[in-house]
Amino acid sequence: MSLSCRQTGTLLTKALAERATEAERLQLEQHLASCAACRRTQAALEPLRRLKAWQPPPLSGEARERVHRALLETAATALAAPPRSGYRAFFWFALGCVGAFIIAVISLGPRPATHRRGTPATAPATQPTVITRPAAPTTSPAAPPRAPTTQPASPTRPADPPTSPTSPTSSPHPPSRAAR
Amino acid sequence: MSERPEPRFGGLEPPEAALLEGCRAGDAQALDQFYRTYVDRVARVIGRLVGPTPDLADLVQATFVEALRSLSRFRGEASLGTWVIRIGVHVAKHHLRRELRRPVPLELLPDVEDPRAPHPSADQALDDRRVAQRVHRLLDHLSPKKRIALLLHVTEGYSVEEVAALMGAGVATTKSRIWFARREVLKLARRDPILRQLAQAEPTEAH
Repeated sequence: MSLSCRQTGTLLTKALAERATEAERLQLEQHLASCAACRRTQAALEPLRRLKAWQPPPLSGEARERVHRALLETAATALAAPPRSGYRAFFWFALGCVGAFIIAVISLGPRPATHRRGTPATAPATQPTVITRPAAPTTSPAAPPRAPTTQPASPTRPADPPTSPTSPTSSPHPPSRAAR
Repeated sequence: MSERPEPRFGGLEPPEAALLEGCRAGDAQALDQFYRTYVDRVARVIGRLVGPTPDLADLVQATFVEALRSLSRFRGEASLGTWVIRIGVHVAKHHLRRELRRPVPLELLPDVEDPRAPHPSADQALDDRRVAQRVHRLLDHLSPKKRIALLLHVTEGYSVEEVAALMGAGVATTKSRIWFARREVLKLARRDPILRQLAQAEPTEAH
């Protein structure tokens, strides 16, 4: 199977990392023998090959000792301080509780009625009774006298029966039936 | 890289488990052994990733300090050495991110650093150290993730899967990083007069 130039590029990197199999190396050599562009690519990768041959200088004795001392000092403080991890765990637990409480208050707390359009079951019961109910006749004997202290009569609707604090469906004696 | 121990992601050997327990208990002898076992390997990997830098000792120290602080969270899914190298890779990445804020343009780099070589040819003057410096300056133009993926694969000889595990990334992501990094390096190296000269001077042979 002949390689494409794109596959050769990937294989060149793999060969540079000494991860290519013998079969892949043979394929690579065959392709390179016939493709000048890939030979140029291989030549351009030469700096990376040289970089691979470079070994960074080892740490000096002084640097090694300094790092060793720092390690021991860290061990003395970090490994001998279990209460700190407990404190940290408690801190995160408390923070989580506060966050959960705030989320619960925001999501479950009371909201203004304007935010609940389209949900009549949760709407205040007084509003639909006032708006939808037809006006009762003023001569109806069933209309009870209005208590001025608890429910003042509206000047625009003098014949309105008293409104129920609950919804019309849940009331045992709806005011509209009583008015008839 | 025959001297590089293969990374193990399968768990701890019994001596490593004993060493880990000793370190967790704060045993000075275990800590000393832990340090002396891995310091050279950590220094080599970090040095290869960040290039010649006076901060190498600080980076090695940061790696070991972080390892010590994270000992309680180490679950033993990889070998102790692989785990420490992984921390070193993260330390190198953070260092490169800091250094990335001030990249040096290639045009401002001196071509010849050794004054004792008055008329250096490409073969004579570009020793490995200078090439390494030059290439690392060039690699400064890459993102730290791409740079580290390429160097772990090419210079350290880790497989793509091992690089992915060391960097905490997916295999496909790592492959992509290596591919783009190689492409950017090729583009930058062709623009750099010294490295271009080096590439022309070297005979083309299969690696």
